[in-house]
Amino acid sequence: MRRLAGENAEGDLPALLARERTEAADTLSASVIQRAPRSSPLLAQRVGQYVVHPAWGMPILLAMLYLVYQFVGVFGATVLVGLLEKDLFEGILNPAFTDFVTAAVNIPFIAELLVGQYGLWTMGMTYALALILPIVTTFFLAFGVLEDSGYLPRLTVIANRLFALIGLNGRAVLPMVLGLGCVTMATLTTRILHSPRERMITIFLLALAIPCSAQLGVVLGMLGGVSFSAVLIWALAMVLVLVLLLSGLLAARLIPGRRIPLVTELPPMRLPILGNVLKKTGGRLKWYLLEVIPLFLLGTFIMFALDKLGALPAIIRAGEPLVSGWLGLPPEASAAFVMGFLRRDFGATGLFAMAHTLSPVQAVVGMITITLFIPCFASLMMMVKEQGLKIALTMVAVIVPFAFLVGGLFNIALRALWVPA
Amino acid sequence: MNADLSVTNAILLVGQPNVGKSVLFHRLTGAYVNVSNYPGTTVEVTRANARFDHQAVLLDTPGILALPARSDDERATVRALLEEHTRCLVQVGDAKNLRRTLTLTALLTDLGLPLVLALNMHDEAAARGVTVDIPALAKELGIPVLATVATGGSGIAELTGSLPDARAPEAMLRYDSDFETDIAATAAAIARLAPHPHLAARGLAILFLGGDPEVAGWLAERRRPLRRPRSFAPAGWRECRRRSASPPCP
Repeated sequence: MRRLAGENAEGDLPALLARERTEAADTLSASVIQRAPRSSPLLAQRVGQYVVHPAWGMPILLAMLYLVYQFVGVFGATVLVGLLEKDLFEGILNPAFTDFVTAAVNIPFIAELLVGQYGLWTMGMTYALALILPIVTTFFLAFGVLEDSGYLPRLTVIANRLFALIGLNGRAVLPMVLGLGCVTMATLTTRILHSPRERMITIFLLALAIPCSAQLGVVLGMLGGVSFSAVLIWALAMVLVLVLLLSGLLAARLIPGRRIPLVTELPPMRLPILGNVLKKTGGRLKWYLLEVIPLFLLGTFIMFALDKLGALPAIIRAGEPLVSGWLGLPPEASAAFVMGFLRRDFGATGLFAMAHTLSPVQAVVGMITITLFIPCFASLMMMVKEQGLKIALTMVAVIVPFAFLVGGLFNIALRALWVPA
Repeated sequence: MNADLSVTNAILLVGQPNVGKSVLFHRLTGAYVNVSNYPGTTVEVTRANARFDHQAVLLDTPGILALPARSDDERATVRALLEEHTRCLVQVGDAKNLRRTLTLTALLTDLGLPLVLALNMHDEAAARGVTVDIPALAKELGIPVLATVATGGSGIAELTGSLPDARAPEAMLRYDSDFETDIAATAAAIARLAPHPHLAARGLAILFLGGDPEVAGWLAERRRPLRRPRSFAPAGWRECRRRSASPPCP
């Protein structure tokens, strides 16, 4: 039996058997199928061709991005957040709750824990419900529509064209595009890749430069206050980091040079069914809030404890050369990076909460740095599960300084080159 | 065979990527699974109780392009085939691309499990002017074949109604006689030394000869209590099993 296995493996048995099966399937399907003659392709098929067209693909992608930006960045993060945060929370709920707590609890320490600067309610719950909730809700809706319409997998075709220029293996593109939904899930999806090395590199890039949907929402929301060109600069920064890093890795022969073409199946374009998109958005929101509220509360508590222990001012002072000197951000932004260790979107929300004090350049630099920063705890755990503790920690050790390095470079470049309108 | 194995209650949804297995799974169980219009959304096996039959457990498996398994998600599907107490397989196929669907059907018929074919996305096939003569196909394959639209819910009742009628089909084709000789010899060895409670020796032989790491591993484990453990489980196989890329095993 071993002998037979050995002989057949050399003859590439699976491929030969597959050919015989295909022939049989061909004959059988020809005998039971009737094709109605059709003069023109369906509208869905034509749309499907246009969105991956070499010339039209890019403008359509930009238009899509602009629409999502309008919906999430302008409508979600400006209009809805304005209603919820400014009017409902800061206007009505928080003052009422603060009055109630200070009156009911006579211990200042407890009162401050609940409603102080780093209060569980005034920071933790307000961040989660007034800032994050409207942003991720609008984003999940937009993302669900893109997913179910079949546009998202077509992004892989466009991204693949880009990566083909530098000779990257096409199959790795798919998890990266999926990572825009959830990096944790995409880390799992790298299982569709065939070689362990490809998997490791893709997981690393996912952790570094692919923002997940919650984070994308916050980025769009934050930069929604600046301009669409700010969003484009941020997106360009991510693409640049990916491309430069990949070409660097290729040059160093860390990735095997043989290019395997992307063979993926493009699902048909369809009109998304509203009910399905809503169901999916609901499912994602539930999962997100269940995960994020406890973490936001924990994060707030850590910030509160650091503040009470006097460690926070020390951290802010220690971070000042890096955060203010190198990144050009206000010193208080250090606190956001401390929060970012817990979850990237928590850190991004911290920056978002101080958005009105930031200049356009500062906003873009802050978002670039926090996007490159270590991913959320859940995806870190997934990295450990898939690649082992040692590799996961090495990745983190590379990612953190790298995020600051790139952020600083963009700070210098943008100050010199970009004049926001 | 121990008592556990005699309770065959698992119904496995199998098929190529992005044919709608997870949507169908959601329809049949009510359990929420992440569903998307792109291949590769499911990479692990999900299980839930069936709505239509409380004795049955439904399994949603990652899509397989073909077997032997080449990637970790395909291996998860092979593992499910090897380890579950399968009552029947439901192949979910794309009605728009019948040729591709039947290529996988040909492979599944080798496994010797009761099989039902759900030709999904029937609405899209119809919109593209493709009509399938379903009774003729069912007769040709010798298994129930149903047209379904999992997203809209049509054909689901017919599908669950047909499950009790599912019978193990005849293998759809005979391969080239050279291969058949090898397959028969290997199948005979498997049937004698390590018979599987549900899967046909022929199917296991085909996967094993093609270098499927999960099947090789399963066979190697089965052999251990028997008389000549060394001869059947050379170190090379275990090595091969550990690597996630799967070149043909020695």
